[in-house]
Amino acid sequence: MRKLLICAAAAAATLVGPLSLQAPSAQSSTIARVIVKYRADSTLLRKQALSVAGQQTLQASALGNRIGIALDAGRAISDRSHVVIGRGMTSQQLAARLAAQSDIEYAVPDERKRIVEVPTDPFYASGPAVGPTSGGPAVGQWYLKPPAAASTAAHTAPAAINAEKAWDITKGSASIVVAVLDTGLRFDHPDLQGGNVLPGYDMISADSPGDFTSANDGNGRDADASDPGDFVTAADSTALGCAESNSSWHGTQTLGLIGATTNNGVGMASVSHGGVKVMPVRVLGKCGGFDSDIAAGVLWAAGIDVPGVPHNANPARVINMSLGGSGPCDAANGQAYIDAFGQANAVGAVVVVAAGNSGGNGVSIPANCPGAIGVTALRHVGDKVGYSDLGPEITISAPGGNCVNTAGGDPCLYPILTLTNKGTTAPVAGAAGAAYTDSFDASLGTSFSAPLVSGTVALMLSVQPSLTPAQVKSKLQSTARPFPTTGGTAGIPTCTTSSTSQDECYCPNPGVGITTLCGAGMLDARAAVASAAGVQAAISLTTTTPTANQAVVLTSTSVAAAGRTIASYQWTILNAGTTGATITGANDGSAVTVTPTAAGSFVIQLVVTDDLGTSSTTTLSVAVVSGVVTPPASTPTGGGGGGGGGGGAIDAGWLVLLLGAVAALAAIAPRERARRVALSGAWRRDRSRVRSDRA
Amino acid sequence: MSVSTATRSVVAAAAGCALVAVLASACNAPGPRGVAGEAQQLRVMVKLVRGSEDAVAIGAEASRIAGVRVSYAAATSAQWHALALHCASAAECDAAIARLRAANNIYQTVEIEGRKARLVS
Repeated sequence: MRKLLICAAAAAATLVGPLSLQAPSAQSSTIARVIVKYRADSTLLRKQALSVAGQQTLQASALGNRIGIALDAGRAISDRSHVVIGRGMTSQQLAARLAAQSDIEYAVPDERKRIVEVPTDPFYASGPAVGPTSGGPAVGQWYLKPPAAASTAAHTAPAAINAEKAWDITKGSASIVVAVLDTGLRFDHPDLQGGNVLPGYDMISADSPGDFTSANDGNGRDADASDPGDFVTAADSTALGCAESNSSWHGTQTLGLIGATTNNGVGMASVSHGGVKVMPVRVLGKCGGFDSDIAAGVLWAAGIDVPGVPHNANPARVINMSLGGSGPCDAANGQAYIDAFGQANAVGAVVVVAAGNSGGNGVSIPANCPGAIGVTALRHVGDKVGYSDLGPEITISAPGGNCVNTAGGDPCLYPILTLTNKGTTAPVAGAAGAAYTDSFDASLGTSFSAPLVSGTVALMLSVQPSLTPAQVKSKLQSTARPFPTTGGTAGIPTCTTSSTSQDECYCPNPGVGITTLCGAGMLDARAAVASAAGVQAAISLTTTTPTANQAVVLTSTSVAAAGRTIASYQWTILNAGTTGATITGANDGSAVTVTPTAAGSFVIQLVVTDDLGTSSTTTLSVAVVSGVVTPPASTPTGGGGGGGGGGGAIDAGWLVLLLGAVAALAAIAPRERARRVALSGAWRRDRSRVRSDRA
Repeated sequence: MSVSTATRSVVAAAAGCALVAVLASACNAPGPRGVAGEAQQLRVMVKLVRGSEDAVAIGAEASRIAGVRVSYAAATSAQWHALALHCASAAECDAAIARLRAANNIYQTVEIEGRKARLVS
């Protein structure tokens, strides 16, 4: 009797209680289009003496009856597949409902596809016409395009990072700042006038008190991050100890790859489509820069105060460092970088560092430091380019530009086209000085691989700003494409852990017992951004103390990526344990009510799917304590306490309610059982789908 | 004042300024351009056990501990600072670094500072 009373009370509570079930919020005018394919043994496929269209009309109708939604048949795709059309919910929601049917092989939204948008920047498609001493590359910005077989005619290459398709998801958020620690910037370049360039800072201090030879601007740290040139004269060479050279405009080159104004009909496109903010932090002058200035630049860029320097009001989420030197990164030689990267990571900044160009030796410092995302350079076909360093510290690889062994003086076929300045020493001001690197003045190096990763990370954070540096690294790795094992120069070996330098070689793919040397694979911007854009499922237990025979409300606190929405929810009791917990009412809303009938714990799963079709799954174990039955109208005598207490007198009102509840429970039981069977199949399929998404 | 006297005064003043400038430069510039007897300049980065932003005090304390002249170079954070050791020889700089490292109640880390360069092929 006590059990009956508890069950009846639970049922009564279910019937009369104010349950906070939330139905999908789609408007009734919303039209859902879903492609369904029936399993071969589906009873819905029984042949009728009708045309295919007629049969599919009946199938849609029958399917609709099952899930309580009027469905029309749309276009036929095959004898087992056609479009169904419903109203009052989104395509994603309808697809989730139909996918839960046991005889549906799949149900997916019937979405419109748009023509992939290609930027209007002329050099994206092809560089300037190749002449005797300038122009090219003919393949334009091949490195940003979708990967395809190497073809100069098609301007495609296997190692291309697929940024073009990432732009379908996002063209960058202005709330994301990428700091570029380099030689400063030529702010007046016409392809940097999109309003996304922040002033930055000049972090180069004196070589010694009063000596600003390296800085080349006559002063120490200040707010002017413009690049005065880093040319090295004979006197500079003697004083500072590096070779004579012209100005490199290196900071303008690397920053341009990340943030050049895009789709403006001028020059080049950038990885971030010009949508994120870019901020030069000048740390390199003549003959490079000191560790103390570089580490200070890391901290300042991340928004961490540096003594004597104004606070950075625009903290960077990404820090690009196309710089390095030789040596290990350990307590004796790299602790300043280890500390700086750790502090930057702790405030959410992702640090991307080029591997180094010492001709295939060990990874340079600071790319080999903990907290860095080290980037090795690939040839256009996807093998390691000869100049690039490599080692187990590397996270991922990206194109760095290569020349395909052309004869001396011949144009380089696959360089990295980017911004530069015409000045050989001091800059040439304004539009007259603006230029682009090409097949003759070629940009080649891991310096240019790192910005491709930084720009991709900026896009990832644009759609999911909550990602931590560790999550970003994991997603970059899990979405990387495998390295090729063919296509390189004939006879080249697989890269090894050898301590001697290694020229062009095939990067080893991750596997059991394999030490990766070029990271997890080839950067795929589209896959990385899509992964970042995914929803994050989360459950909140609304009921403070879940108690047997009382409704327990669980609410989704899932988060969709910026610009995305959660399209569907699917709740399932994975394990009821001793609680006898079942879902009461709808299981596809943003909240769900579960009614346990005994103490113990149950496990509930939530699968959320966003409007891109990306799913995320989470589970929650809920502990249930023994309940106390409290009659609604009067307090029964006796009983009390927990552990299934109760009993005592039952008045007439309570008895009537009890009997009504029992009757109602008996009526809904078969339907509920059937629904649970269907749901069981649904979550099994959802779980397999999630697993395949991750694969 | 006669013209010649004025001229002499200007010349004297200019010479004085030049001398001051030369001396100041000699005092400030290390290494080959440094003061006599300081043939070596070595930059180090120190991580203080207790953070400080007092450049003068950090330099003076390092000088006292290292036993050579130390000029303050740059701050990276309250804990990390770059210093230049001015030594008569490489051996003297090595000994100075050893003394700084031995003062582990003051310095958590002492590392030789390097330079990093852009990475173009």
